[in-house]
Amino acid sequence: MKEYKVNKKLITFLTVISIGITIYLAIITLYSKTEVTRSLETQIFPNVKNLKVECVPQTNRFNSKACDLIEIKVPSLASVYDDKGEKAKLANLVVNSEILDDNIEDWLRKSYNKEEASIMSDQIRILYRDNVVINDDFRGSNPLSK
Amino acid sequence: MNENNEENKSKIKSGFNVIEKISKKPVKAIAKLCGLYIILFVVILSMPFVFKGYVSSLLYDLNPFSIKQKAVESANNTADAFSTVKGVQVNKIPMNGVESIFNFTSKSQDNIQINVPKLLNYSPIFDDDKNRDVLKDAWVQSINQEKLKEETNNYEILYNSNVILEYKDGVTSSYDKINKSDLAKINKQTKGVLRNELDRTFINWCVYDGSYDVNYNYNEKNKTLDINGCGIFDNESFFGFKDGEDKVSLSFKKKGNNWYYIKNSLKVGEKVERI
Repeated sequence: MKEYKVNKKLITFLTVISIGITIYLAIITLYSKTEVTRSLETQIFPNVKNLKVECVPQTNRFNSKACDLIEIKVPSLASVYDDKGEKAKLANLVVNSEILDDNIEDWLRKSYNKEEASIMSDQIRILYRDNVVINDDFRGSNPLSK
Repeated sequence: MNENNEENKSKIKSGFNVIEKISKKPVKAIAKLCGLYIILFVVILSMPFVFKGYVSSLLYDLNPFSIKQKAVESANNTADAFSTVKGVQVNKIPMNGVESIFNFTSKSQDNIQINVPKLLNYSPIFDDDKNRDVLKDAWVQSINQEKLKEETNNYEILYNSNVILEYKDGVTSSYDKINKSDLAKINKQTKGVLRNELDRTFINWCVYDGSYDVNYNYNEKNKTLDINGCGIFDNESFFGFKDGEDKVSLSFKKKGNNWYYIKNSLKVGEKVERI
């Protein structure tokens, strides 16, 4: 019966190793998520207040792209008080937000580089105020071949 | 001894009393005079400090349009313009005192400058610098000029410390689509084209009323630049003509950062006649 005796040392070693790997992976995922989001925040329009950049990390570890989804929310450039509910009455009258919206959306569309975006992420969504300016999905097709 | 001492003391006291009594009247008189002068002196000296702010605000408040001016200013809230971009500066340059007294309009400022810093982007997702003109157009077109004119005499909009919109003395001017380095390049190319096509040496544009007599019209849609002007040529033909002025018109096309001459667009007319 000696052969069936449990090797306690081996089992503790394996459990410790597996727990270690899980913790390592969790830390890596968390860190990479915050790191990518932070680096994107410092890269994309860093001098625009209230701009939100989010990187939803990859679930597939074999995918070389950093993010599953990059979402960039550009606020109204006319005033910080735009789209702030009750506070919107403080916004200036000097800038015509309607014309600015159209022009800035046009500018975002023209300056958007699809190839570079497809290298970084599977999907990209760019919003100006409440309008979706760009919504691209690169999964299942090679955008470079188009 | 004690009695003597007391006597002396009383004598001294009475002596003091006498001195006091005698001296009181002139001292009072002198104090009255001096005090009056000192008070007057202090008042005169402090007048500019006390009244400077008070008088100017009084003059402003006496202006029957001051309430309207304040209302327009607070409604416009110009200081908030483009406030989403970090570091936007709105400078308000007020009118001088005399102007503000006789200012019977809703305008409260002489000049307003809105200085928008460059929108930064380090990410390759956006080629923002390629479309700089689109962004400049966005700023310029979005300005509510009627609202600004209600508040100020003149105004300037700067993007990246480049004046992109200016309203001065009733004239609105927008930024140039062709900058100075481009112009130098174009003038150089024009000389080359004229020499190649005509075998005539182009010297320069005619000077008329202190500036070069030439118009550059940039068509943004076709990205073409039409040049119409009067050129001075050095005519070295065997007929022996002297320097001549001729009408010149030609076109260039913009590709990237370079300008290309459009073939057969060169037209050289007859001599320019001015009345």
